[in-house]
Amino acid sequence: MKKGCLLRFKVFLAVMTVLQFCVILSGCFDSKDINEKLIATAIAFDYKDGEIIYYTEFADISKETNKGQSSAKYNMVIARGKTLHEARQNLDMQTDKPVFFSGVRALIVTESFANRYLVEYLYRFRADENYRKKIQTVITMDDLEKIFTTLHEKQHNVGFMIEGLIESQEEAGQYFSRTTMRLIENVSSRYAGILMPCIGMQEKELALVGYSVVDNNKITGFIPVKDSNPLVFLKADKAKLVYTVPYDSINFTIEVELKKRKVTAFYKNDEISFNIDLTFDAELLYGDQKTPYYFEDAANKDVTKILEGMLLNEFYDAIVQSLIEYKCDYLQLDDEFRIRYPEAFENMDWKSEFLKSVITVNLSVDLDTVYMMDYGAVDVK
Amino acid sequence: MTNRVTNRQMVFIIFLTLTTYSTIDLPKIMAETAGRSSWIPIIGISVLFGAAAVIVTKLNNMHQKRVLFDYSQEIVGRFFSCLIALYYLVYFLSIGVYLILGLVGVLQSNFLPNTPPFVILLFGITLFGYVAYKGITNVARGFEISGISFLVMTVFVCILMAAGGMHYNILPLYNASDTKKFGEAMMKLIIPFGGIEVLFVIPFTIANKKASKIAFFTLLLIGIFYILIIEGTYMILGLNNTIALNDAFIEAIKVVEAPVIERTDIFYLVTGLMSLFAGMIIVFTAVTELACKMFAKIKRHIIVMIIGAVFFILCLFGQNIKDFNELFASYAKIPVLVSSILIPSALFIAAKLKKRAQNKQKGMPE
Repeated sequence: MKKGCLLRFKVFLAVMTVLQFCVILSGCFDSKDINEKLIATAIAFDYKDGEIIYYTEFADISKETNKGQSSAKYNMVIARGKTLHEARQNLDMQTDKPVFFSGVRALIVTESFANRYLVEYLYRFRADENYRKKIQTVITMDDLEKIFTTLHEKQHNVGFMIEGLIESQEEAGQYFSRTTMRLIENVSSRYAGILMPCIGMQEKELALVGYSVVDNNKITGFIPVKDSNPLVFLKADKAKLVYTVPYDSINFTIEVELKKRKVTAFYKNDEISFNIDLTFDAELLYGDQKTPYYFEDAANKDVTKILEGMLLNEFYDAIVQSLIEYKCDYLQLDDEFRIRYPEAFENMDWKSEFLKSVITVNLSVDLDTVYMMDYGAVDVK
Repeated sequence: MTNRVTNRQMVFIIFLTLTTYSTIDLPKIMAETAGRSSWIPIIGISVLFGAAAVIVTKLNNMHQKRVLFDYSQEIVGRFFSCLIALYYLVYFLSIGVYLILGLVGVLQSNFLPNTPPFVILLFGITLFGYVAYKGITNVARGFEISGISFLVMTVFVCILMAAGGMHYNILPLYNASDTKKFGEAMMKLIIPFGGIEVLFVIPFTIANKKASKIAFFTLLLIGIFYILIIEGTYMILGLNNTIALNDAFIEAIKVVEAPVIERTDIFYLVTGLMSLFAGMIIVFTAVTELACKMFAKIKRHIIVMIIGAVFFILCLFGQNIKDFNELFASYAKIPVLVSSILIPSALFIAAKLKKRAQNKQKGMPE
């Protein structure tokens, strides 16, 4: 290569390098240190006396202890407004730094707010680029201010706590939730009957207290955790719950795990029916009396029968509650029907048709003692 | 420098050119039309465009070491050849404007919200111009690397979506009531499948003998790739959310739970942007190659600078047109069909007839 050519090439390379740096660094000119932002971890809404109350929880990471170690501290800012936009504007007026919404873990709404603004707020959330999209949305019947102040006194973060509660319970197979995007999908559909996680205070601690029934974007009921076992078996991925089965003056504690779930929809002569087939694996953990339990084949058969009866009763109660008490398909059987009969589904008013449907539950339990224990006929020394 | 590409490079050129902007808005387009049955029109149109790719590659193979501008003179004469080249030049310029404005939109909404669009335009066009100046062989080498990472990353994200999404969002796979919208869906798929015409600026060699077969299967694979993206998005967002969101695929990625990675969307966009850049690079290269052939006396770097300036001005105009991308999408279907199916088919038939006539004249068997 000629000398002049080489020089020109080097100059060109230098110019290109400078240009490249300009491009790469162009995203940094307006960057802000994380300490210069207010990191929102939870947002909550209430509706009282014709006004929206907007609670925002911030994690103040700039606070330091005497030893120079950082300590998490959480603040709450309350803003009010006649509309969502006005409440947000008032929030901005109260914050000395820009709010960073990409760290929000949970959205908490009261029933009164949900009944008026659930759809509007969810659509606002969907359209806002700044929000973290993986947040959990929950309902509460308790006072929001009390929830925040009680937990902040204990240095607990409400947003992270709700996320942790739901995740750990889902992992344990005792609860199920909906992502907020799925919630938006449900409320946008022609028919929207769903269950939303409900939180509340129990002995000064935050807890999952049950599910709120959402029918056509309004909260119409509440199902407490103690009545929610069949719902967990119907909706959770790896449902695992514990039952106490009385048999022969012993109360057996049995862990029941869902093995297989199949929901089949039928549509004949304009009549809708569903078959729910469930298979469970159960393990006898322990009893409330001294061993030996003489838990052999005959006892196993009897206890299995009792357990199956208990489960069946629970399922029928849950179905009756859905069909008669709340008149809402929060079991979301509409999905099963739509998949099998898409055209018929499009042409019907599911809310009224569902109430006429016949639902049959068939279940079987395979019971065994827990692997490490022998509850058979063993001699006591 | 000899302009040539291997068959593998050709696969990635087709792949990156076609998937440029489609991955982002295709789920919305399909959700609005064929809904859950979208995979059927996608397969149909990929077979159609696969056949068009076979025609383009066969034409190139019939005239090895030459590009469209050279051999079209032999087939239809110099006047029509110039007309065809001019048509493709204008066509690629308008496609380029559409892609650059799409790229600016994605960059602004996801990475650089405060950067003025004209700055992104300026830097972008300079970069694309520099790569285009280097010629098709270097572009093809770059595509081989970026194509693999884009493909692997997108498939990985789609697998995560399928694992974390709701299967009933995509069921039933066929709904008879969607059938009447298949025609509309196929029309809307024309733009996502347009792009095979860039092969016209690549001179084929003896190494590209099997190009036709490979190009056909590449188009089928692109169809499957699109299906993966659409079904993954439906599974995460559901049909109604997908319809409501213009960049549904990116919004779906934001919801995906991935191990270790908190912001899956940023992780994906780093490689996803490669596809957008690649699409723009190949279009810029195509315009450059065509212009260099048409204006053989002007030096290549001058042509690149002029094209860059033209792109910049057109993009500034485009930015001032309300809903430019929607307008473009509604009017571009016919030009895309003409460029990727009509002209190649007409040239192919004319070339075959000419060859037959020549053989007849020489008294050779057909």
